[in-house]
Amino acid sequence: MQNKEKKLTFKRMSDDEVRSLLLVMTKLFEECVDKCFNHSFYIAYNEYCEIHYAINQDMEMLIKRITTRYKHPYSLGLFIGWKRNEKFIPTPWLFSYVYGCLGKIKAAIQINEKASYLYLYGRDIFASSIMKIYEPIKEGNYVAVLDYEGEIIGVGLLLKSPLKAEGNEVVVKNVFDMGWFLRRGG
Amino acid sequence: MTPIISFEKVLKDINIRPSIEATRLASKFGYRPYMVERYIEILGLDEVKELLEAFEKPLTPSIRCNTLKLKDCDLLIKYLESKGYVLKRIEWHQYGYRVLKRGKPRLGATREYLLGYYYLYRGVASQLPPLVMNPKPHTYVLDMAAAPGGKLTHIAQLMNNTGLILGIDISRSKIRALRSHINRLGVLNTVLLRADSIKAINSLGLEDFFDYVLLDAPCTGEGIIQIDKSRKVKTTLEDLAKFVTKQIEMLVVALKVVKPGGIIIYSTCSIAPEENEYVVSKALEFFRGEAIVETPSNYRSLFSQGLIEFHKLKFREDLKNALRLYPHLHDCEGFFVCRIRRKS
Ligand SMILES: C[S@@+](CC[C@H](N)C(=O)[O-])C[C@H]1O[C@@H](n2cnc3c(N)ncnc32)[C@H](O)[C@@H]1O
Repeated sequence: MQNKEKKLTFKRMSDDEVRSLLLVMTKLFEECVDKCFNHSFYIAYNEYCEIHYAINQDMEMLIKRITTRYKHPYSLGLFIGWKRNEKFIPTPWLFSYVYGCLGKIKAAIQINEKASYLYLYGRDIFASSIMKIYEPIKEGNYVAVLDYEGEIIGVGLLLKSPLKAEGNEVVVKNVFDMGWFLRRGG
Repeated sequence: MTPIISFEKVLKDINIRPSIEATRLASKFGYRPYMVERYIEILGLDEVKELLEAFEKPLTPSIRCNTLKLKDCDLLIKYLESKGYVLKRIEWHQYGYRVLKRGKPRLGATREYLLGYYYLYRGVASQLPPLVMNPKPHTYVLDMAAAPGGKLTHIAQLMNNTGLILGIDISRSKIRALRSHINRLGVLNTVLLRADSIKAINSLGLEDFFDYVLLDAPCTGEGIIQIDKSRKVKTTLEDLAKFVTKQIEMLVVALKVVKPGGIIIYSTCSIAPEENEYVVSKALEFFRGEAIVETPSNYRSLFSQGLIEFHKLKFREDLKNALRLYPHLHDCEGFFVCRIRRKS
Protein backbone atom coordinates (compact mmCIF):
# COMPACT_ATOMS: atom_id res chain seq x y z
CA MET A 1 0.00 0.00 0.00
CA GLN A 2 2.53 2.60 1.14
CA ASN A 3 5.49 0.52 0.06
CA LYS A 4 7.02 2.81 -2.51
CA GLU A 5 7.69 5.39 0.14
CA LYS A 6 11.13 6.54 -0.93
CA LYS A 7 11.59 10.26 -1.32
CA LEU A 8 8.03 11.27 -0.58
CA THR A 9 7.40 14.97 -0.87
CA PHE A 10 4.68 16.50 1.26
CA LYS A 11 2.53 19.44 0.30
CA ARG A 12 -0.61 21.05 1.58
CA MET A 13 -3.52 20.68 -0.84
CA SER A 14 -4.60 23.83 -2.58
CA ASP A 15 -8.21 24.99 -2.23
CA ASP A 16 -8.96 23.63 -5.70
CA GLU A 17 -7.50 20.25 -4.86
CA VAL A 18 -9.52 20.11 -1.64
CA ARG A 19 -12.68 21.02 -3.52
CA SER A 20 -12.17 18.27 -6.06
CA LEU A 21 -11.33 15.72 -3.34
CA LEU A 22 -14.50 16.56 -1.43
CA LEU A 23 -16.44 16.24 -4.68
CA VAL A 24 -15.07 12.74 -5.22
CA MET A 25 -16.15 11.82 -1.69
CA THR A 26 -19.58 13.38 -2.19
CA LYS A 27 -20.03 11.27 -5.33
CA LEU A 28 -18.91 8.13 -3.52
CA PHE A 29 -21.36 8.57 -0.66
CA GLU A 30 -23.99 10.46 -2.68
CA GLU A 31 -24.08 12.88 0.21
CA CYS A 32 -22.10 15.99 0.95
CA VAL A 33 -19.40 15.16 3.51
CA ASP A 34 -17.85 18.65 3.78
CA LYS A 35 -19.23 19.04 7.28
CA CYS A 36 -17.17 16.03 8.44
CA PHE A 37 -13.89 17.72 7.65
CA ASN A 38 -12.72 20.58 9.77
CA HIS A 39 -9.34 19.43 8.56
CA SER A 40 -6.49 20.46 6.31
CA PHE A 41 -5.44 18.02 3.64
CA TYR A 42 -1.92 17.04 2.71
CA ILE A 43 -0.51 15.03 -0.17
CA ALA A 44 2.62 12.92 0.05
CA TYR A 45 3.90 11.99 -3.37
CA ASN A 46 6.71 10.58 -5.42
CA GLU A 47 6.97 9.24 -8.94
CA TYR A 48 5.03 6.09 -8.04
CA CYS A 49 2.26 7.15 -5.74
CA GLU A 50 0.26 9.87 -4.14
CA ILE A 51 -1.06 9.48 -0.59
CA HIS A 52 -3.69 11.74 0.95
CA TYR A 53 -3.99 12.70 4.61
CA ALA A 54 -6.42 14.79 6.62
CA ILE A 55 -5.07 16.49 9.72
CA ASN A 56 -6.72 18.26 12.62
CA GLN A 57 -6.10 21.91 13.42
CA ASP A 58 -3.75 21.12 16.32
CA MET A 59 -1.43 19.37 13.91
CA GLU A 60 -1.41 22.05 11.25
CA MET A 61 1.06 24.40 12.91
CA LEU A 62 3.51 21.64 13.73
CA ILE A 63 3.39 20.21 10.23
CA LYS A 64 4.06 23.62 8.73
CA ARG A 65 7.10 23.89 10.94
CA ILE A 66 8.30 20.41 10.07
CA THR A 67 7.92 20.88 6.35
CA THR A 68 9.47 24.34 6.27
CA ARG A 69 12.27 24.04 8.80
CA TYR A 70 13.37 20.51 8.79
CA LYS A 71 12.28 17.62 6.66
CA HIS A 72 9.31 15.61 5.60
CA PRO A 73 7.12 13.80 8.05
CA TYR A 74 6.68 10.07 7.74
CA SER A 75 2.93 10.02 8.12
CA LEU A 76 0.22 12.37 9.28
CA GLY A 77 -3.17 12.23 10.93
CA LEU A 78 -5.92 10.38 9.09
CA PHE A 79 -4.77 8.40 6.06
CA ILE A 80 -7.74 8.93 3.76
CA GLY A 81 -6.67 7.50 0.45
CA TRP A 82 -4.22 7.21 -2.36
CA LYS A 83 -4.27 7.88 -6.05
CA ARG A 84 -3.61 5.41 -8.81
CA ASN A 85 -3.99 6.30 -12.48
CA GLU A 86 -5.58 9.58 -11.47
CA LYS A 87 -8.25 7.72 -9.52
CA PHE A 88 -8.77 8.32 -5.79
CA ILE A 89 -8.89 5.10 -3.75
CA PRO A 90 -10.45 5.56 -0.32
CA THR A 91 -8.97 3.76 2.71
CA PRO A 92 -10.99 1.78 5.27
CA TRP A 93 -10.11 4.59 7.70
CA LEU A 94 -11.86 7.14 5.53
CA PHE A 95 -14.99 4.97 5.37
CA SER A 96 -14.86 4.45 9.11
CA TYR A 97 -14.41 8.16 9.79
CA VAL A 98 -17.24 9.18 7.48
CA TYR A 99 -19.60 6.58 8.97
CA GLY A 100 -18.84 7.99 12.41
CA CYS A 101 -19.58 11.49 11.16
CA LEU A 102 -22.77 10.65 9.20
CA GLY A 103 -23.99 8.17 11.79
CA LYS A 104 -24.73 5.57 9.12
CA ILE A 105 -23.10 3.10 6.78
CA LYS A 106 -23.04 3.89 3.05
CA ALA A 107 -21.33 2.54 -0.06
CA ALA A 108 -20.59 -0.82 1.50
CA ILE A 109 -21.27 -4.53 1.20
CA GLN A 110 -21.42 -7.02 4.01
CA ILE A 111 -20.22 -10.57 3.44
CA ASN A 112 -20.62 -13.89 5.20
CA GLU A 113 -18.18 -15.42 7.67
CA LYS A 114 -16.32 -17.69 5.28
CA ALA A 115 -15.90 -14.96 2.69
CA SER A 116 -14.77 -12.56 5.44
CA TYR A 117 -11.83 -14.78 6.38
CA LEU A 118 -10.95 -15.34 2.72
CA TYR A 119 -11.07 -11.60 2.10
CA LEU A 120 -8.52 -11.12 4.89
CA TYR A 121 -6.24 -13.42 2.87
CA GLY A 122 -6.51 -11.13 -0.11
CA ARG A 123 -9.28 -12.94 -1.99
CA ASP A 124 -12.07 -11.40 -4.08
CA ILE A 125 -15.79 -11.68 -3.33
CA PHE A 126 -18.40 -13.83 -5.08
CA ALA A 127 -21.96 -12.61 -5.45
CA SER A 128 -23.22 -15.49 -3.31
CA SER A 129 -21.13 -14.34 -0.32
CA ILE A 130 -22.90 -11.01 -0.03
CA MET A 131 -25.28 -10.70 2.92
CA LYS A 132 -26.24 -7.07 2.68
CA ILE A 133 -25.78 -4.03 0.47
CA TYR A 134 -25.54 -0.48 1.79
CA GLU A 135 -26.40 1.93 -1.02
CA PRO A 136 -25.12 3.73 -2.94
CA ILE A 137 -22.98 1.19 -4.71
CA LYS A 138 -22.03 1.66 -8.33
CA GLU A 139 -20.07 -0.49 -10.75
CA GLY A 140 -16.53 0.86 -11.09
CA ASN A 141 -16.69 2.55 -7.68
CA TYR A 142 -15.01 1.56 -4.44
CA VAL A 143 -16.97 0.04 -1.59
CA ALA A 144 -16.17 -0.68 2.03
CA VAL A 145 -16.18 -4.40 2.76
CA LEU A 146 -17.83 -5.30 6.06
CA ASP A 147 -17.38 -8.68 7.68
CA TYR A 148 -20.13 -10.87 9.12
CA GLU A 149 -20.13 -8.80 12.33
CA GLY A 150 -20.31 -5.50 10.45
CA GLU A 151 -16.67 -4.46 10.94
CA ILE A 152 -14.78 -2.85 8.06
CA ILE A 153 -12.19 -5.34 6.87
CA GLY A 154 -11.11 -3.66 3.67
CA VAL A 155 -11.92 -1.79 0.51
CA GLY A 156 -12.96 -3.35 -2.78
CA LEU A 157 -13.74 -2.35 -6.33
CA LEU A 158 -17.27 -3.17 -7.42
CA LEU A 159 -17.00 -4.99 -10.75
CA LYS A 160 -20.65 -5.84 -11.19
CA SER A 161 -23.83 -5.21 -9.24
CA PRO A 162 -24.46 -8.30 -7.07
CA LEU A 163 -28.10 -8.07 -8.07
CA LYS A 164 -27.21 -8.70 -11.71
CA ALA A 165 -24.55 -11.36 -11.17
CA GLU A 166 -24.62 -15.14 -10.89
CA GLY A 167 -23.73 -16.58 -7.46
CA ASN A 168 -20.31 -17.81 -8.52
CA GLU A 169 -19.31 -14.58 -10.25
CA VAL A 170 -16.67 -12.33 -8.69
CA VAL A 171 -18.39 -9.02 -8.02
CA VAL A 172 -15.89 -7.25 -5.76
CA LYS A 173 -12.18 -7.18 -6.40
CA ASN A 174 -9.95 -6.97 -3.34
CA VAL A 175 -8.13 -3.62 -3.34
CA PHE A 176 -7.01 -3.56 0.27
CA ASP A 177 -7.76 -5.77 3.26
CA MET A 178 -6.75 -5.69 6.92
CA GLY A 179 -4.82 -8.94 6.45
CA TRP A 180 -2.16 -6.64 5.02
CA PHE A 181 -1.08 -5.99 8.62
CA LEU A 182 -0.19 -9.64 8.89
CA ARG A 183 1.35 -10.09 5.46
CA ARG A 184 3.25 -6.83 5.09
CA GLY A 185 2.84 -4.51 8.05
CA GLY A 186 3.38 -4.95 11.77
CA MET B 1 28.00 22.14 21.09
CA THR B 2 29.83 20.97 24.22
CA PRO B 3 28.48 17.67 25.47
CA ILE B 4 26.33 17.76 28.60
CA ILE B 5 28.44 15.06 30.16
CA SER B 6 31.41 13.27 28.71
CA PHE B 7 31.52 9.56 28.04
CA GLU B 8 34.70 9.33 30.13
CA LYS B 9 33.05 10.93 33.15
CA VAL B 10 30.07 8.57 32.88
CA LEU B 11 32.34 5.56 32.55
CA LYS B 12 34.27 6.63 35.64
CA ASP B 13 31.08 7.19 37.64
CA ILE B 14 29.50 3.86 36.80
CA ASN B 15 32.57 1.72 37.23
CA ILE B 16 31.93 -1.16 39.60
CA ARG B 17 34.13 -4.04 40.73
CA PRO B 18 32.41 -7.38 41.19
CA SER B 19 32.78 -9.27 44.46
CA ILE B 20 33.64 -12.98 44.61
CA GLU B 21 30.02 -13.80 45.41
CA ALA B 22 28.82 -11.81 42.39
CA THR B 23 31.36 -13.51 40.14
CA ARG B 24 30.25 -16.92 41.39
CA LEU B 25 26.56 -16.20 40.79
CA ALA B 26 27.32 -14.59 37.45
CA SER B 27 29.09 -17.70 36.27
CA LYS B 28 26.26 -19.94 37.52
CA PHE B 29 23.56 -17.95 35.68
CA GLY B 30 25.70 -16.84 32.75
CA TYR B 31 25.88 -13.08 33.38
CA ARG B 32 28.57 -10.44 33.25
CA PRO B 33 29.79 -10.19 36.86
CA TYR B 34 29.33 -6.39 37.10
CA MET B 35 25.61 -6.82 36.47
CA VAL B 36 25.16 -9.28 39.30
CA GLU B 37 27.29 -7.15 41.63
CA ARG B 38 24.92 -4.28 41.19
CA TYR B 39 21.84 -6.46 41.66
CA ILE B 40 23.38 -7.58 44.97
CA GLU B 41 23.97 -3.96 45.97
CA ILE B 42 20.33 -3.11 45.23
CA LEU B 43 18.53 -6.18 46.54
CA GLY B 44 20.88 -8.09 48.84
CA LEU B 45 22.20 -11.57 48.20
CA ASP B 46 19.09 -13.62 49.03
CA GLU B 47 16.75 -11.60 46.87
CA VAL B 48 19.21 -11.54 43.97
CA LYS B 49 18.85 -15.29 43.63
CA GLU B 50 15.07 -14.84 43.31
CA LEU B 51 15.64 -12.18 40.66
CA LEU B 52 18.03 -14.36 38.68
CA GLU B 53 15.63 -17.32 38.90
CA ALA B 54 12.76 -15.10 37.72
CA PHE B 55 14.79 -14.03 34.68
CA GLU B 56 15.02 -17.71 33.72
CA LYS B 57 11.23 -18.07 33.51
CA PRO B 58 9.17 -17.10 30.47
CA LEU B 59 7.64 -13.63 30.39
CA THR B 60 3.85 -13.38 30.53
CA PRO B 61 2.67 -11.42 27.47
CA SER B 62 -0.16 -8.93 27.74
CA ILE B 63 -2.69 -7.13 25.60
CA ARG B 64 -4.32 -3.72 25.78
CA CYS B 65 -7.91 -3.46 24.67
CA ASN B 66 -8.07 -0.54 22.23
CA THR B 67 -11.14 1.49 23.08
CA LEU B 68 -10.59 3.66 20.01
CA LYS B 69 -11.87 0.67 18.04
CA LEU B 70 -13.96 -1.29 20.51
CA LYS B 71 -15.96 0.28 23.32
CA ASP B 72 -16.76 -2.98 25.08
CA CYS B 73 -13.60 -4.76 26.20
CA ASP B 74 -15.61 -7.68 27.60
CA LEU B 75 -16.51 -8.50 24.02
CA LEU B 76 -12.82 -8.78 23.13
CA ILE B 77 -12.24 -11.12 26.04
CA LYS B 78 -15.19 -13.22 24.91
CA TYR B 79 -13.86 -13.42 21.35
CA LEU B 80 -10.39 -14.44 22.52
CA GLU B 81 -11.68 -16.95 25.05
CA SER B 82 -13.62 -18.62 22.27
CA LYS B 83 -10.23 -19.16 20.57
CA GLY B 84 -8.81 -20.87 23.64
CA TYR B 85 -7.08 -17.91 25.31
CA VAL B 86 -7.16 -17.35 29.04
CA LEU B 87 -6.80 -13.73 30.06
CA LYS B 88 -6.67 -12.01 33.41
CA ARG B 89 -7.05 -8.29 33.95
CA ILE B 90 -3.83 -6.62 35.14
CA GLU B 91 -4.50 -5.59 38.73
CA TRP B 92 -3.46 -1.94 38.14
CA HIS B 93 -5.01 -1.50 34.70
CA GLN B 94 -8.66 -1.23 33.66
CA TYR B 95 -8.25 -2.45 30.10
CA GLY B 96 -4.96 -4.36 30.12
CA TYR B 97 -4.81 -8.16 30.42
CA ARG B 98 -2.18 -10.79 31.10
CA VAL B 99 -2.27 -13.69 28.66
CA LEU B 100 -2.20 -16.74 30.92
CA LYS B 101 -2.88 -19.37 28.29
CA ARG B 102 -2.45 -19.17 24.54
CA GLY B 103 -5.03 -20.24 21.98
CA LYS B 104 -5.15 -20.33 18.20
CA PRO B 105 -4.43 -18.57 15.95
CA ARG B 106 -1.53 -16.70 17.57
CA LEU B 107 -2.33 -13.29 19.04
CA GLY B 108 -0.72 -11.39 16.17
CA ALA B 109 -2.96 -13.11 13.62
CA THR B 110 -6.52 -13.11 14.94
CA ARG B 111 -9.38 -11.25 13.26
CA GLU B 112 -9.58 -9.10 16.38
CA TYR B 113 -5.90 -8.16 16.07
CA LEU B 114 -6.29 -7.19 12.42
CA LEU B 115 -9.33 -5.10 13.29
CA GLY B 116 -7.24 -3.19 15.85
CA TYR B 117 -9.15 -4.34 18.92
CA TYR B 118 -5.91 -4.77 20.86
CA TYR B 119 -2.17 -4.16 21.02
CA LEU B 120 0.09 -7.03 21.96
CA TYR B 121 3.02 -6.59 24.39
CA ARG B 122 5.81 -8.96 25.35
CA GLY B 123 5.28 -8.18 29.05
CA VAL B 124 2.94 -6.06 31.16
CA ALA B 125 5.28 -3.29 32.34
CA SER B 126 5.21 -1.45 28.99
CA GLN B 127 1.58 -0.62 29.66
CA LEU B 128 2.52 1.44 32.71
CA PRO B 129 4.25 4.61 31.36
CA PRO B 130 1.20 5.99 29.49
CA LEU B 131 -0.96 5.37 32.58
CA VAL B 132 1.57 7.24 34.72
CA MET B 133 1.59 10.05 32.13
CA ASN B 134 -2.23 10.15 32.12
CA PRO B 135 -2.41 12.80 29.37
CA LYS B 136 -5.49 14.99 29.10
CA PRO B 137 -7.40 15.19 25.82
CA HIS B 138 -6.60 18.12 23.50
CA THR B 139 -3.01 18.41 24.70
CA TYR B 140 0.34 18.20 22.88
CA VAL B 141 2.53 15.16 23.41
CA LEU B 142 6.01 14.29 22.19
CA ASP B 143 7.25 10.70 22.05
CA MET B 144 11.00 10.87 21.49
CA ALA B 145 11.61 7.16 20.84
CA ALA B 146 8.25 6.05 19.58
CA ALA B 147 8.59 2.83 17.61
CA PRO B 148 7.10 0.27 17.38
CA GLY B 149 4.44 2.21 19.24
CA GLY B 150 2.91 0.34 22.17
CA LYS B 151 3.11 3.45 24.26
CA LEU B 152 2.31 6.02 21.59
CA THR B 153 -0.89 4.25 20.56
CA HIS B 154 -1.85 3.88 24.23
CA ILE B 155 -1.33 7.62 24.73
CA ALA B 156 -3.57 8.30 21.71
CA GLN B 157 -6.22 6.11 23.31
CA LEU B 158 -5.98 8.04 26.60
CA MET B 159 -6.35 11.31 24.65
CA ASN B 160 -9.30 9.86 22.74
CA ASN B 161 -7.60 10.77 19.46
CA THR B 162 -7.67 14.51 20.19
CA GLY B 163 -4.81 17.01 20.35
CA LEU B 164 -1.49 16.06 18.86
CA ILE B 165 1.24 13.49 19.27
CA LEU B 166 4.58 13.95 17.57
CA GLY B 167 6.25 10.54 17.38
CA ILE B 168 9.92 10.35 16.40
CA ASP B 169 12.08 7.31 15.87
CA ILE B 170 15.37 6.82 14.12
CA SER B 171 14.83 3.27 12.89
CA ARG B 172 13.49 2.82 9.36
CA SER B 173 12.04 -0.64 9.94
CA LYS B 174 10.58 0.13 13.33
CA ILE B 175 8.85 3.32 12.26
CA ARG B 176 7.25 1.38 9.45
CA ALA B 177 5.82 -0.98 12.05
CA LEU B 178 4.67 2.03 14.06
CA ARG B 179 2.79 3.47 11.09
CA SER B 180 1.18 0.13 10.52
CA HIS B 181 0.01 -0.04 14.17
CA ILE B 182 -1.32 3.50 13.98
CA ASN B 183 -3.49 2.60 11.01
CA ARG B 184 -4.58 -0.73 12.45
CA LEU B 185 -5.54 0.78 15.80
CA GLY B 186 -7.35 3.80 14.34
CA VAL B 187 -5.00 6.46 15.75
CA LEU B 188 -5.65 9.80 14.04
CA ASN B 189 -3.84 12.48 16.02
CA THR B 190 -0.24 11.62 15.22
CA VAL B 191 2.56 13.08 13.15
CA LEU B 192 5.48 10.72 12.64
CA LEU B 193 9.05 11.69 11.87
CA ARG B 194 11.87 9.33 11.08
CA ALA B 195 14.84 11.11 12.57
CA ASP B 196 17.31 11.39 15.40
CA SER B 197 15.03 13.04 17.91
CA ILE B 198 17.76 15.24 19.38
CA LYS B 199 18.64 16.70 16.00
CA ALA B 200 15.03 16.94 14.85
CA ILE B 201 13.79 18.69 17.97
CA ASN B 202 16.69 21.11 18.04
CA SER B 203 16.16 22.12 14.45
CA LEU B 204 12.39 22.43 14.81
CA GLY B 205 12.76 24.92 17.67
CA LEU B 206 10.05 23.48 19.89
CA GLU B 207 11.07 24.90 23.28
CA ASP B 208 8.23 24.96 25.84
CA PHE B 209 5.84 23.44 23.30
CA PHE B 210 4.60 20.14 24.72
CA ASP B 211 2.32 19.40 27.67
CA TYR B 212 3.80 15.92 27.98
CA VAL B 213 6.95 14.20 26.76
CA LEU B 214 7.60 10.49 26.80
CA LEU B 215 11.20 9.38 26.68
CA ASP B 216 11.05 5.60 26.60
CA ALA B 217 14.75 5.61 26.07
CA PRO B 218 16.89 3.36 23.91
CA CYS B 219 18.55 1.19 26.54
CA THR B 220 20.44 -2.03 27.20
CA GLY B 221 17.15 -3.93 27.52
CA GLU B 222 18.54 -5.59 30.59
CA GLY B 223 15.01 -6.00 31.92
CA ILE B 224 13.90 -8.38 29.19
CA ILE B 225 16.42 -11.15 29.80
CA GLN B 226 13.45 -13.55 29.98
CA ILE B 227 12.98 -13.20 26.23
CA ASP B 228 16.53 -12.41 25.18
CA LYS B 229 19.20 -14.30 27.07
CA SER B 230 21.96 -12.59 25.09
CA ARG B 231 21.37 -9.54 27.28
CA LYS B 232 23.08 -11.31 30.16
CA VAL B 233 26.43 -10.75 28.46
CA LYS B 234 25.85 -8.31 25.63
CA THR B 235 26.57 -5.02 27.39
CA THR B 236 30.08 -4.07 28.45
CA LEU B 237 30.54 -1.18 30.87
CA GLU B 238 31.68 0.89 27.87
CA ASP B 239 28.48 0.08 25.99
CA LEU B 240 26.48 0.96 29.06
CA ALA B 241 28.28 4.30 29.38
CA LYS B 242 27.42 5.05 25.74
CA PHE B 243 23.72 4.40 26.36
CA VAL B 244 23.83 6.51 29.52
CA THR B 245 25.49 9.46 27.80
CA LYS B 246 22.84 9.38 25.06
CA GLN B 247 19.99 8.99 27.56
CA ILE B 248 21.12 12.04 29.51
CA GLU B 249 21.38 14.04 26.33
CA MET B 250 17.87 13.00 25.27
CA LEU B 251 16.36 13.74 28.67
CA VAL B 252 17.83 17.24 28.69
CA VAL B 253 16.18 17.85 25.31
CA ALA B 254 12.90 16.58 26.77
CA LEU B 255 13.22 19.06 29.63
CA LYS B 256 13.69 21.90 27.16
CA VAL B 257 10.65 21.15 25.02
CA VAL B 258 8.14 20.46 27.75
CA LYS B 259 6.14 23.50 28.87
CA PRO B 260 6.78 24.87 32.35
CA GLY B 261 4.44 22.83 34.55
CA GLY B 262 4.46 20.00 31.99
CA ILE B 263 5.23 16.34 32.57
CA ILE B 264 8.02 14.11 31.31
CA ILE B 265 7.88 10.36 31.64
CA TYR B 266 11.28 8.72 31.55
CA SER B 267 11.19 4.95 31.24
CA THR B 268 13.43 2.03 30.28
CA CYS B 269 13.09 -1.73 30.16
CA SER B 270 16.09 -1.97 32.43
CA ILE B 271 16.67 -2.14 36.16
CA ALA B 272 20.20 -0.77 35.87
CA PRO B 273 20.53 2.31 38.14
CA GLU B 274 23.08 3.72 35.70
CA GLU B 275 20.52 4.17 32.93
CA ASN B 276 17.73 5.19 35.28
CA GLU B 277 18.33 7.09 38.51
CA TYR B 278 21.79 8.22 37.40
CA VAL B 279 20.41 9.56 34.09
CA VAL B 280 17.55 11.41 35.75
CA SER B 281 19.85 12.83 38.42
CA LYS B 282 22.38 14.11 35.90
CA ALA B 283 19.78 15.56 33.54
CA LEU B 284 17.96 17.37 36.35
CA GLU B 285 21.27 18.61 37.73
CA PHE B 286 22.00 20.11 34.34
CA PHE B 287 18.56 21.70 34.44
CA ARG B 288 19.45 23.34 37.79
CA GLY B 289 16.58 22.30 40.01
CA GLU B 290 13.90 23.46 37.61
CA ALA B 291 12.18 20.10 37.70
CA ILE B 292 11.13 17.53 40.29
CA VAL B 293 10.39 13.81 40.36
CA GLU B 294 6.75 13.36 41.32
CA THR B 295 5.00 10.49 43.03
CA PRO B 296 2.61 8.72 40.66
CA SER B 297 0.18 8.27 43.54
CA ASN B 298 -2.09 5.63 41.96
CA TYR B 299 0.85 3.31 41.44
CA ARG B 300 3.18 4.12 44.34
CA SER B 301 2.15 1.31 46.65
CA LEU B 302 2.19 -1.30 43.87
CA PHE B 303 5.85 -1.10 42.87
CA SER B 304 9.29 -0.66 44.40
CA GLN B 305 10.85 2.74 45.06
CA GLY B 306 13.56 4.38 43.01
CA LEU B 307 17.06 4.40 44.48
CA ILE B 308 18.60 7.43 46.13
CA GLU B 309 22.01 5.88 46.41
CA PHE B 310 23.85 3.14 44.64
CA HIS B 311 27.43 1.96 45.01
CA LYS B 312 29.45 5.18 45.39
CA LEU B 313 26.77 7.35 43.82
CA LYS B 314 24.21 9.55 45.57
CA PHE B 315 21.05 10.58 43.75
CA ARG B 316 18.35 13.18 44.40
CA GLU B 317 16.01 12.45 47.32
CA ASP B 318 12.92 12.72 45.14
CA LEU B 319 14.11 9.82 43.00
CA LYS B 320 12.57 7.52 45.55
CA ASN B 321 9.29 8.57 43.90
CA ALA B 322 10.29 6.68 40.76
CA LEU B 323 8.83 3.21 40.14
CA ARG B 324 10.99 0.10 39.84
CA LEU B 325 9.44 -3.10 38.52
CA TYR B 326 11.16 -6.40 39.17
CA PRO B 327 10.35 -9.77 37.55
CA HIS B 328 10.46 -11.66 40.87
CA LEU B 329 8.13 -9.19 42.61
CA HIS B 330 5.77 -7.93 39.94
CA ASP B 331 5.48 -10.72 37.35
CA CYS B 332 6.80 -8.60 34.50
CA GLU B 333 9.92 -7.49 32.67
CA GLY B 334 12.44 -5.43 34.65
CA PHE B 335 11.35 -1.82 34.19
CA PHE B 336 11.76 1.74 35.42
CA VAL B 337 9.24 4.61 35.22
CA CYS B 338 9.76 8.12 36.48
CA ARG B 339 7.37 11.08 36.35
CA ILE B 340 9.18 14.40 36.17
CA ARG B 341 7.44 17.77 36.37
CA ARG B 342 9.09 20.86 35.04
CA LYS B 343 8.46 23.66 37.52
CA SER B 344 6.00 26.36 36.50
C1 LIG C 1 12.74 1.21 23.94
S1 LIG C 1 12.50 1.48 22.26
C2 LIG C 1 11.01 2.40 22.21
C3 LIG C 1 9.75 1.59 22.35
C4 LIG C 1 8.51 2.39 22.11
N1 LIG C 1 8.45 3.55 22.99
C5 LIG C 1 7.26 1.56 22.27
O1 LIG C 1 6.56 1.71 23.27
O2 LIG C 1 6.96 0.76 21.40
C6 LIG C 1 13.69 2.68 21.87
C7 LIG C 1 13.59 3.25 20.48
O3 LIG C 1 14.48 4.35 20.38
C8 LIG C 1 14.85 4.48 19.04
N2 LIG C 1 16.01 5.39 19.01
C9 LIG C 1 17.30 5.14 19.33
N3 LIG C 1 18.04 6.26 19.21
C10 LIG C 1 17.21 7.25 18.80
C11 LIG C 1 17.37 8.63 18.49
N4 LIG C 1 18.55 9.23 18.60
N5 LIG C 1 16.29 9.32 18.07
C12 LIG C 1 15.09 8.71 17.96
N6 LIG C 1 14.88 7.42 18.24
C13 LIG C 1 15.92 6.69 18.67
C14 LIG C 1 15.07 3.05 18.60
O4 LIG C 1 14.96 2.92 17.20
C15 LIG C 1 13.96 2.31 19.36
O5 LIG C 1 12.85 2.12 18.52
